[in-house]
Amino acid sequence: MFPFFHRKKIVPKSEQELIELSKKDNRYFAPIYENYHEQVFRFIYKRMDDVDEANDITSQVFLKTLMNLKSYKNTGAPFVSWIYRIALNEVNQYYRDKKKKRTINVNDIDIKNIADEVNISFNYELQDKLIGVLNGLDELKILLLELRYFEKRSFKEIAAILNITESNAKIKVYRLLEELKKQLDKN
Amino acid sequence: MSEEKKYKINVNRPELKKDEIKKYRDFRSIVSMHNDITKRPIYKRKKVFFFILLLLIVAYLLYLSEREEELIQQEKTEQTEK
Repeated sequence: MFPFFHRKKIVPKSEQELIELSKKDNRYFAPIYENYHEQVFRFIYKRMDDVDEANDITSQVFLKTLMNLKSYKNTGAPFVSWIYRIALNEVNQYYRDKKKKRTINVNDIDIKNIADEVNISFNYELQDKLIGVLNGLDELKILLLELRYFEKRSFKEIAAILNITESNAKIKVYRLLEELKKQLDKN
Repeated sequence: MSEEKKYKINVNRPELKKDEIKKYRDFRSIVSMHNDITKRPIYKRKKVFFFILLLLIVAYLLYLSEREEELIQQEKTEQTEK
């Protein structure tokens, strides 16, 4: 079939240029999608049980990113932080709609990291205790733990994702560690 | 202890491999969903709007010239009748 429009050749450009071009023509978004698909997928899957549902939410996140691109303003924070923020909203919306319990995925290393931070030696008893403590924390605290200790993100990145200042992110994480230490000592 | 569990906590779930994630990559479907949502009615597209406007102007000009010819013709017949 003779193509009605000839395809525009996408010449590699900076991310910011691609974002600006994508506002007018969604085909320019392809390199951004290719670049961030895996990390956004992992970010969502870390908070989910099912891989197909994680895929549906990932698609929804990129669609919303494209839809809201016109309102995006470069504040100096990495563009992917903005995508992560959309992803968090979508994951929360998913759990609200399905009325399901939110999934948390942890591994031994994550628990060991937290144990080191609160100066408690790691053992399997601690693992059980920590899981008990996690079940009593609210959403924001879980999110902070995930971002900082399960995904090992910098305070700068956490601040960008949560749209707060870096010092505020630090304060929240340190207060959370204190709370964890108290609860783990108590148990 | 009767604590209600707020979360479902998985410990040591295996990580997905790069290739497993790659097979879910589908930019075309994102673009097509985006196009479906943001598609504007045909008359609201700039090029189509100006094309329709041009057609209307041409049609109006043709109508005017035909009408003028009719008037000239009418005048001529009136003059010959007199």
